[in-house]
Amino acid sequence: MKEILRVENLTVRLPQPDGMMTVARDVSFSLHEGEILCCVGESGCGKTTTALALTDLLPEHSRVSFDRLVFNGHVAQDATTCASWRGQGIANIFQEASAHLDPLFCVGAQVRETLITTRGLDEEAAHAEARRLLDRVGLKPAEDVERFYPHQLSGGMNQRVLVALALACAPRVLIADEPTTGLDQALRLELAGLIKGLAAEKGWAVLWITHDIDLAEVVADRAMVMYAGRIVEEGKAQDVFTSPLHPYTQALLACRLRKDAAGRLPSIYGEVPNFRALPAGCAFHPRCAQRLKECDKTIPETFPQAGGRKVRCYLRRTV
Amino acid sequence: MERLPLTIMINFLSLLIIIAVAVPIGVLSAVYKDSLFDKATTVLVFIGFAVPTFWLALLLMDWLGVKLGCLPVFGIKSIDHEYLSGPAKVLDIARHLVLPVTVSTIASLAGISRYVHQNMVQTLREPFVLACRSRGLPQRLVIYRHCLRNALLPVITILGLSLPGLISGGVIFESIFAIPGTGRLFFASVMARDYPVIMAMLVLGAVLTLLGNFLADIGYALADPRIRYPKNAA
Amino acid sequence: MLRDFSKRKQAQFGLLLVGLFLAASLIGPHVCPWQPDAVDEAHLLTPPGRSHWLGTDQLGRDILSRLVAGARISLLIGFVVVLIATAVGVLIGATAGYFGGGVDNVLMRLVDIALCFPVTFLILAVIAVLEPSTVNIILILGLTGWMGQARLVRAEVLSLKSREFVLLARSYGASHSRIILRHLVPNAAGPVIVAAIFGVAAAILAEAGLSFLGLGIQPPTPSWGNMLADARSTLGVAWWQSLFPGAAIFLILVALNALGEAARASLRHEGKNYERDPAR
Repeated sequence: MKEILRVENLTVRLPQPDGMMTVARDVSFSLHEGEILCCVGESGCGKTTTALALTDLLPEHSRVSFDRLVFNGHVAQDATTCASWRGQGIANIFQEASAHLDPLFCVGAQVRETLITTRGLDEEAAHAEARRLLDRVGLKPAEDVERFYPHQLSGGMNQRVLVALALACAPRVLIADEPTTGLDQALRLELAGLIKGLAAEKGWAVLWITHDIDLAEVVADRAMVMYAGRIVEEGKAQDVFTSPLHPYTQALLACRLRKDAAGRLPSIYGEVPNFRALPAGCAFHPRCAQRLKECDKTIPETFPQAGGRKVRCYLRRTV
Repeated sequence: MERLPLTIMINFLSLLIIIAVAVPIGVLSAVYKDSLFDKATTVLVFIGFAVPTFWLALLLMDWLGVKLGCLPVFGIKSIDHEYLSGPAKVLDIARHLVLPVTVSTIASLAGISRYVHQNMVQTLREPFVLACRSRGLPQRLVIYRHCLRNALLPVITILGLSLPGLISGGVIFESIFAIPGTGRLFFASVMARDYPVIMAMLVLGAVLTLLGNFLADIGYALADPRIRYPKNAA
Repeated sequence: MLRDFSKRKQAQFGLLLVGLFLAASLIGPHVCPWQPDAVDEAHLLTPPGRSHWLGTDQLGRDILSRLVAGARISLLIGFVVVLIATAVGVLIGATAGYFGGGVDNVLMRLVDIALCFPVTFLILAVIAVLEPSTVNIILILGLTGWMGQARLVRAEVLSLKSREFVLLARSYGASHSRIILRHLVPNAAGPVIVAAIFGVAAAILAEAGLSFLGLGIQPPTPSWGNMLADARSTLGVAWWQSLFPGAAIFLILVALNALGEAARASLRHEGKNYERDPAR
């Protein structure tokens, strides 16, 4: 499958009241057409920041640096190149759909606006196409729904509107930042199914961010795990979720709501580190049951494994 | 009764100027936050808040009116107003109005522009703004079509609440500039203990306040679809 | 939060100015060579000079000493008015918010009615009926300024009411008034203090305005407002007479506004975002 987005050593620093804080470090991955890459990790590990950095959507005064960032053959010189990809090949959908829609415009108008501005359609064509898109995402009958305002629709319906808006951009890459978080279970699967179906139909490359591992197991083709701003494991979804190589991934998978042999709910020993006071060496080592001597000395590089997998852990060091 | 139109006109003019000036200042200083423009306007607003209008009036009268003599300081018509030609009459009144209107504008200008600025800054932080930008909508569109509307919604309330100010706002500066308006009428009645007039004006003021609130509520309902269409499961 | 507040430049600037005014009003009258009412017939309407640092008015009174005496009155009125307004407002707002229901409705209707009248008219009318004395001014300004505080406190109390510590207090049998006074009010203090600071500024401005119109502090007692009124007749001739009293009002307002803004920003934990990178 064709590689459509390549990120090499992306580092993001965000402005905080007490100085700049590095939130993502040396993040490298690539997206391929027709493939869904799930990014999993606990809240605050840097997933959303990475996603926003790809299209230069971070708050002002943020600092983004990378070795290489290529989209559809275009090499990015700096953040402004990324900004030009917004809506022109890369589309975003977000958590909490209702907050991401302008409350003063009806949903039809918002879809039409994107069609006219980003795709250059004229008024009439936009009307027809907007209806078609709303219909495609399951909001029927479109003629009625398009006249509603976001506050009149439910969270699930608003999320479908966001998907329609993404469709309106005719993208090649979709960045989905926890689109199903906060929705009811049944809705969650429906929406996930919708997105996955569209991705397959249009051949999108999808970066799907979630902290719901069960969901990731269902939708992902490939998966990558983030911890404290770095990617610690990456590979085919099936491999990562059934035979995880990094101690953190193993612990994460064990944490899902299933009791262990003794009937207790498992948890990971220790706490997620403060970005300002990261442990020396591997950020996970204080909580790792399998740590080696060198784990608190230097940060492990990413070691390639069999089957296209990568792990950032000395346990899997390839000589 | 004949004093009413004058006061209303002055205050209305004042209001128009305020809106025309304060809103753009508030919006632009929010959009270009932390720029030199923003910092300069912040300082100016600060000063505007603290300047007592009657002091400003005296200073302006002293410098512009007496020392430099370019603007008249009393009344709204010159002594020889009746003998002037048509357009000259208008110009005469206009010249007389410059100082009063300026003075009555400055304080409110500071307040409203600050309010608009704060609303705009807050709106710019809303998630839907990020979503709009993520679709590649040009910054101009995002700011002036989406943010502006959202941010200016509360300004409608302010407009409604300023209705009573149309007749009551001017007590001090009408006295200073010797303008025969309702403010000065009220003041004169107070000094003369003319209770019927005092009561009448108080009632008028209360009625206008209620009317203003009512209009503000209606205006808000018209402008904000969240109020116009109650939430219903589609 | 207090530390954050004291670090802000606005706060330091404001505190400095207010401190200066306070010091002037307390020490000034004892240090000034002239009495505020003393008439120096040899120096009628003289510009600032060696014997009269800020000049004299048309009756030969020294402007500087009048300014200082006026500071006393204005500051006194400002603080007492806000004290009254805050006390009344907090009481009403906290009661309304805490008890809710019928009590809340009645009290809020009261607030609405009080807010109905254009304030300027109301104040003027009341002063007309009563005689303008210091006490009356303080009372009327205080009683027209509590509504804002009431609403603020009510909003805070409403949001705090359901928090755990209230339930905890109820569970060990604390009486209503104890809960309100010891627990809710201190927690709602933040916005109230901010509003109070701005309230002092507003009260000082209002008193100055009233005195200017002749309905406030009566001459010969000096107030910045009535000093400006005196200046009206010498317009264009004695710039010092209108400049200094007005500048005094302006400066105290600037100082109070700075304090208020700094307090408000501290409350919201606003901070600048710094570019410097911690050493890595």
